[in-house]
This record gives sequence, C-alpha cells and structure tokens, in this order.
Amino acid sequence: MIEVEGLTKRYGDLTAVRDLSFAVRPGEVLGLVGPNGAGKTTTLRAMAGVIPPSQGTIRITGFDLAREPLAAKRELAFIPDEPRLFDHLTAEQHLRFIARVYQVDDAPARGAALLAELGLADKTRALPGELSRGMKQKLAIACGLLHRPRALLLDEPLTGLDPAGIRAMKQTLRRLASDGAALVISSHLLGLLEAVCTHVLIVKDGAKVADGTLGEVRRHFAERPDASLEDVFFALTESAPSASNDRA
Amino acid sequence: MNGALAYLELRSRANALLGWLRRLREPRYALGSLVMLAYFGFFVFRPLWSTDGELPRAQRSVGGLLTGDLALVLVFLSLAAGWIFGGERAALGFTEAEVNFLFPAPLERRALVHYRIFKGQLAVVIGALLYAALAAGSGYPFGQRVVGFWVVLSFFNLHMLARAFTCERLLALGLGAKRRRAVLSALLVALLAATWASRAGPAGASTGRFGFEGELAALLGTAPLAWVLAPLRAIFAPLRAASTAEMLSALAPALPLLAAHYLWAMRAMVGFEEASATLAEKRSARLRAVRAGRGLLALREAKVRVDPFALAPRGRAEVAFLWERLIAAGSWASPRSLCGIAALPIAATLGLRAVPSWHGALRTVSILAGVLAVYALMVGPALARGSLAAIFERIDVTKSYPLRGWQVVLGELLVPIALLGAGQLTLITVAALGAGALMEDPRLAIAGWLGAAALTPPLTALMFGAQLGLQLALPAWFRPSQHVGVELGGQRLLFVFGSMLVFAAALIPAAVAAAAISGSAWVLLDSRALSAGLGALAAALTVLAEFVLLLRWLGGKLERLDLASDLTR
Repeated sequence: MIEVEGLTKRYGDLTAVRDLSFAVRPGEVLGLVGPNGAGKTTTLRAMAGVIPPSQGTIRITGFDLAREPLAAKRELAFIPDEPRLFDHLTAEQHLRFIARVYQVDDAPARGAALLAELGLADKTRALPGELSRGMKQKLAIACGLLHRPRALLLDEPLTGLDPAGIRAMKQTLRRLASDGAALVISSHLLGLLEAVCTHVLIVKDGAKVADGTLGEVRRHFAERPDASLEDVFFALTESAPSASNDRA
Repeated sequence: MNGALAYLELRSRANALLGWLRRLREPRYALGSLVMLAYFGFFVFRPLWSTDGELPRAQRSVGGLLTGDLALVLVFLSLAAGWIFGGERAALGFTEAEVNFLFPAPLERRALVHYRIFKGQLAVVIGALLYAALAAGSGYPFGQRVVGFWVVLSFFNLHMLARAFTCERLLALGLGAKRRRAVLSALLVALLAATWASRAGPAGASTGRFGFEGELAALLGTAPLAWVLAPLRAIFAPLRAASTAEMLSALAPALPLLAAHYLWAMRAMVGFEEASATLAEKRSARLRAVRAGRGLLALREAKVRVDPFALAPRGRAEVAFLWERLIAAGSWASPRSLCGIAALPIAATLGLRAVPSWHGALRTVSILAGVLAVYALMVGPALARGSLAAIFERIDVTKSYPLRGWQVVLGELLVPIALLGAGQLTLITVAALGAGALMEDPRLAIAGWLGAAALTPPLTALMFGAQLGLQLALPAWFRPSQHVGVELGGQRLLFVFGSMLVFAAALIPAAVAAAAISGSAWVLLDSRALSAGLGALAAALTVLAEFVLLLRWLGGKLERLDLASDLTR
C-alpha cells in the first residue's frame, strides 16, 4: 500500500509538485503520466526517500517515510530511469551487495531465478560496461526485485528494452501486482500503461489533473467511450489548466 | 569562423559565467569565490600594482623560470613528447555533445578545425594573462609578458594540431606509432648526443653565466641542438625582449612562424571525426568513472575481480559498501597485497638498523617517514575528494536503501580510511623502527609507535569525514561541469583551510584528554613510556568519539540533502 497525501515539492520559487494526493493498494498498478517537467520523477524520488518533500506525507505499507524511513524503505524498491550500476561489480556481485543491504537470506537462489527470468542468466560474470543499455536496465530491475518489495516505484522501466524484454517486463509487472505488490510506473509509453496499469494519475505543472481507474478516467475525460489513454492525455494536458483534487 | 560555432562557444562561456554569478547570491558559494579572488589578488596579481619596492625572492624565481631557458626546454620536451608518444590518429579534443551535434551537421571540416582553434584561443588568452601575472618577477613589462606568452601558447597549440594531422598522414605512409616512436626517439638521442659531444670549454666562459643556469645556456647554444631550437627561440623572443621596440621587432619572425603553423595544420588536415569521437567517448567514460568513485584509478579499465572477502547476506550493511569499494579499488587493495606492500619498507628499515654504519641514512629515513605520515594525513583526504564525490552519483540509489545516512557515509568512508590508514601505519612503523635504534630509551619509541598507531586511524577517519562534510555542504562544486576557474580554486583553498581547522579543533580536546591521562599516569605509575602511551590512547579515544559525532552529523546532512536543489544552481 502506498499513500501520498498533500505532497508538495518546491525549489525556491518553483513548485515542482503541488499538493498531490493518491493511494495505490496492494495489487494495483498506477500509471503516472504527464508531459515533460510535470513533476513525475520528482514525485517518485520523493516517494523513494531520495529527496525530502517540502510538505505532505508519504506512507509505504503503513510506515511514514519521514518518521520511520528504514521500515518504509525495507518494503520499497525504486528503479530510476537511468540504471545506476557499480562499474566494477559483476551482475552477480551486484545482487550479493543488494542482498546484504536488504538482508536477503535466500539471495543466491532468488538472484539466479531473477537473472534467468530477465534473460541475464548468462551474464552473471559480466560488468556493466559489457552490458547493453537494456541489459543494464534489467539488472537494475533484478536488484530492485531481490528483496521482494511490496511497493515498487519504476521510472520509465522499459527504456532500452528489446521487444522480448518489454513483453517479459510486462509479465513481471503483472505478476508482481498479482502477488500483492503496489506499483507506481512513470512512463511516456501510454500503450504500456494501458496494458499494465489498473489506475492512472495524470499530472501537469506539478499538480493532478485526473486520476482513477482507466475506465473512470475515460468516462469522465474522453468524448468517446472507446477513447484511448492517449486521447485522454492530450485532452487533459493540452487544454485543461492544472487543478488539484480533480478526482474522477 | 562559422557564426553558429562562435555563438555556441561564446554563449556557453557566458552562461557558465552567469551561473557562477547566480551562485554568488548564496553566501557559501560567494565565500568560496571571495577566497579565491582574495588569493589571486594577494598572491598572483598584487605584484602588478605593488609599489612596495622589490618583489619577494620566490616571485623573482618564478618569473625567471617562466621566461628563462628552462621554460624553453620544457616546451621543447613537451613538443618532442607529443611527436614520440602521441597517438597515430588525429583525435581533436571535442566533447561528446560537440561530436553528436557538430559532426553530423552540414559544416565543413575546416570550420570544425577553426572552431577548435578558437576554443583553444580562449584558453590561451586566459593562460597568457595568468602566466603574465605569475611572471611578475621576471622584470619584463606586463603587456609584453601577455603578448609573449600568447605567442608561445598559440604556437604550442597550433604545433600540436598540425602534429596530430601529420602523424595520421605518416600512418597512411606506413609509419605507425611504434615505428615513429623508435625513429624519433633515436633521432632525439642522436641530437642530444651530438650536442653533448660538440660542447666545448667551461660553460661560464661562453655565456657569462655559471652553475646549472650557465651549463644549460651553453648546452642550448651548442649545435645541432641550437639549430633545432632556433624556431622556438624566435617564438620566445617577444617574451624576452629588452624593450617594447625590441619586442615589436621580435614579433616580425614570430608571427609568420605562427601563420606558417596555421597553414601547415590546414594543409595537413585529414579526417579526424572518427578518432575524435572515440577520444570524446573515452574522456566521457573516464569522467564518469571518476565520478563513480574510481578516482585516479579511472584510467584503468573495469575488470572482473575476485571478492576481497566472502560477503554473507546478513550482517552490517556498511560492510557491503566496504566490500564493493575494495573490489573497485582493485587487487592491490586486498589485505594480503597491502601486507606485501608494507613489508618492503619495513624490511628495508630493519636492514638499515642492522648495520651501524648506515644509521645516518636510518635517521633520514625515519624523519622522512614521520613527515610523510603527517603529510599523508593532511593531504590524503583532499586528494581523494574525487572518489568521495562519487557519493553524489549513487545517491538516488543509496538513499532509497533501508539504511541511516550515517551508515551510508561510514560505508563510503571505510575503504579510503583503511587504505590511507594502512599506508600511514607503515610509515609510522618505519619511523619508530628508525627512532628505536637511535634513541637512548627504545621504550619511548615503542610507546610513540603505539600512541601514533592508536591515534592515526581515528584522525584519518576524522579528516576524511571533514572532507566529505565540506562536499556535502557544497555539492554543486562537485559537478565536473562546475569545475572551472575561480570556484575550483576557491573550493580547493577552502577545503585545505577547512581541513586544517578541523584538524586543529579536533586535537584540542584530544590534547586535553591526553595531558590529563598521561599526567595522572606519570604521577601514579612513574613511567614515562607508559604515561605517554596511555595519553596517546586517551587522545585516540577522544578523536574517535569526535569522529562518531561527525559521522552522525554527516548522516543527518546526507538524509536531508536534496541534490536537485543544489545541483540545479
């Protein structure tokens, strides 16, 4: 369960995120959508405890991120858009490092299973420099999944993946959700979000312009019932001024 | 030059300047810049408007060195090194962004070379001003020095550009890097040997100068080296002219030489795009590696390395950082290798101890080791600042770990502390072994060794903590793109000053504790060695407590740090 209430992030005079509230329940996948500079990455980074919010509260599986950061982070995985890997650790050594940080007892078996699932079984001894962009992304995802997080924050998770990787990733995301994890995915690939997400949150200029299930958002903001998420997105972000608490 | 390219360079420089000015609104950045400007004002530019008589001796020496024969020799050797060791492909220094935007653009190759020369000229002008200020003690007027250094630096840049193109042309003719190195090295050796052989009479007789300076002047004036150096002498002539009129007449041969070099570069021009793109990638990768924490080791390729020790999935998380950083440092950083490295100087010192007639050398070695240990303590953390700055590169990931800030900080600091500490312990051991053989009471040396060995690790930790504290306070200074001019110098000066301050402040309570404990021990036990050892131990524990406090503060600072806020300034 991820709960965000009144999240605001300011940089001097600029308000990057303004009074954002939403919740993601176990088994739900929330797609975070918005134009460039809408505050998506800032929101995810604040939810991951990387940057402190200026205002508002974030609870991960019931733990307040500000007051109980360690308990909250134990249940959390954050996979940034750019895979941040250690240049000199092999794929397998990455997993061992993460296992120690998160105290994962069955790391060897679980790590091997994850690498196999993500198509990296033959890359255990490879350094990041020997991996393609997509493989690096997969390794970052494997590191994020090793400790069985109950809340996942993914920033553009499909960047650099090949078609097979994209399909495998979609399956992995669905499996995680069906296993009871709460997922937030930020992406510009609206097709992916339609295929994977149960809910969507559209932000513009740091504020929420719409949220709800895909069906609800279509019903309230699209002119046609068969409108795609893309239609809804453009209808909302090209015309609507940003407004908070515009719940569908 | 192409207008768009001129715009790119001038706009970028102007934006960098504006960025610096914007940061000045914040006191901590203003302070850094002020420190550097004050430093430059007092130590570099003050002689330009100083009216208080003769310049200090050091200033005169620097002026003499920068305009004298030694400078000419250094330029010659740098050019020779470029020819001998330079690559066989014409790789010009473009950034990755320039490669991505300019190489596919409809721009003539000539325009790109002009852009490169233009960029070089901006650096040359700044360099000429700086060297002219530094050479205030040379006795030549400031304006002449600026013009003189501009000629020398421009010549150097154009020569290196032409060399790069020529080397690629030589490659096409079958003279690759290896053969070129062999041929040119042989030619250089032959040139020096022939010059040495034809050297005649005492140096002072021909030049009127004696000692090293005279020897050098005599050698440089001897054929065939004198013939080879003739163009360089022409280039240095405006700088060394006795009057403005003489300088103007010296420019008559120097400027055509520059023009000839420009024409040479343009005529020799070959396709440089592929090699330049490769070079840009390598530089970028090196920069990333430095930022990722491999510091000086960034020049080496990342390799698969065995684990320094078995890392169990359960236990203190900081140990995982130690494990990772040891792998990054390389195989030389393993405990076994470090013991091997330490054994060599210790064995050599024991050898010196064993032979009484070598005790003079032993005294020198002992003093040198002690001084080096202190120097390493003061300078080591500052040198490792690149590696410490890697904490910012990983911060998006490490801050999402279920760890306290102080745990991340401790994890990041453990390896530099361990490596520098190991080096210092080796030096202290060498110093104590030497002192033990020379002192009347060897127990004092043992007590000193124990005290220093106890005090060094926490002091080293404290110094690294102070260094990281300064970096956390001023993260924007650790973006490589911000590493320019005034801020870079101010940053370094502030860091050195800050480190000294922390060192002094940390030693005050430690000294008080040491005095109290050793004084009590002296009264109760009546043993100099024991009281000194106990005093050092008390000091070590005090410094350790200070480090723990600093670590907690650093952890809190890291937890509150919002890089986006700091790095967008």
